Amino acid sequence: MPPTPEAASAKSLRVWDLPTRVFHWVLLTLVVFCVVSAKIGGNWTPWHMRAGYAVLALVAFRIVWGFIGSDTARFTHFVRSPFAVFRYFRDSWRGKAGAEVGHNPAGAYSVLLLLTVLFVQAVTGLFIDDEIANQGPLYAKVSSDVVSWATRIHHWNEKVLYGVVGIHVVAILVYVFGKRETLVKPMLTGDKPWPTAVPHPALRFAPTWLALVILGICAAAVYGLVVIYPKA
Amino acid sequence: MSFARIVTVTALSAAVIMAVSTATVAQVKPEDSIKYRKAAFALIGYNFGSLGAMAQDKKPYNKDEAIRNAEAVAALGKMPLEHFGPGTDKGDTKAKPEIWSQMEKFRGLMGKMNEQTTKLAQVAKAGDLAALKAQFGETGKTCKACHDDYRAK
Repeated sequence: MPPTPEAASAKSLRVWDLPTRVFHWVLLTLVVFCVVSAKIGGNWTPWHMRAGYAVLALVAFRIVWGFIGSDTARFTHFVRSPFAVFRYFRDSWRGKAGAEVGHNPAGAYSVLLLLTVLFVQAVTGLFIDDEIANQGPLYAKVSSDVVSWATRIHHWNEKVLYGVVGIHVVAILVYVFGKRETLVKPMLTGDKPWPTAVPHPALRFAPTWLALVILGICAAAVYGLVVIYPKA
Repeated sequence: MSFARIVTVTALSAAVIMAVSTATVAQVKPEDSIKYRKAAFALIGYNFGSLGAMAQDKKPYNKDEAIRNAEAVAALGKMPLEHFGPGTDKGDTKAKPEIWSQMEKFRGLMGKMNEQTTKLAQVAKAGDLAALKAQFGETGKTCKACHDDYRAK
């Protein structure tokens, strides 16, 4: 893929491409909506399910984008060894950690964890039964054992999700109060402050149209799975 | 038949009926109670699911069927509570022990469910699908209230 340099001033560096940022905030909105609608129940439950399908499509998109997207979105770019995580924590504690491009080593595992937990939540939701009036779209395709198993995982994993999101939010607060750095602004604008003395690292950015194509394919696949396949 | 005889026969009959009925009640074993309440819930689930399918436009709305479903839910909804007696917390059940340690709260939630299912049957009879959808949602919330806290997954 040809490099697509994005404009950035000398004092700031483009770290997050538009698709990754939009993905992040839409996902956040959907997850909050899913939690709230699950708590209310009643006629919100069908909307909880629809939002869950959207989460599944987005997570699938992000996994693909993690292989063929922009450098900072790629798993091979940001996932490092557990030792690197240890060194990162040690250096941060001593105030010696350098400027990070993209996810830091600890944040990388946070990304993997969040994607995994959300993927498990969205997939188990396809098979479950609330034993009131709603069943996941693939409920009838599997045995009752699978249904009760998926239902248990879905409810248990909800608590795991709160834990992982909690860690994510605490990490952001640690950055604000400990390292005096906001992670939220770069996720909104795409740019982070960069010391002028340090040369800009060469980052390749994948085009937005590619993200749209991937998202379209993922959305179509999920639509097929939850709407067409159950009727087949 | 003399008056004395009528009194005697009546008294004896009453005694026999009372004895029989007491014996019947005493013979409901905990596992029977669990069986009855699960049967009631299963039938509630079937009827409420049918209403849900109509409320969510998954099957065509049929007023008579909706009335039948809603009336069944309202009648069946009153049955489980008396089968959450002492000793029915153990066995083939997903009922959590908290039901028995918080019986007053549990009764209260069951009462709310009964209020909503009674209303659901009235709304079904009125035949307004939009109102039925709304009331279906409100009723579902009262099911969920107990499922969240008192039903093991």
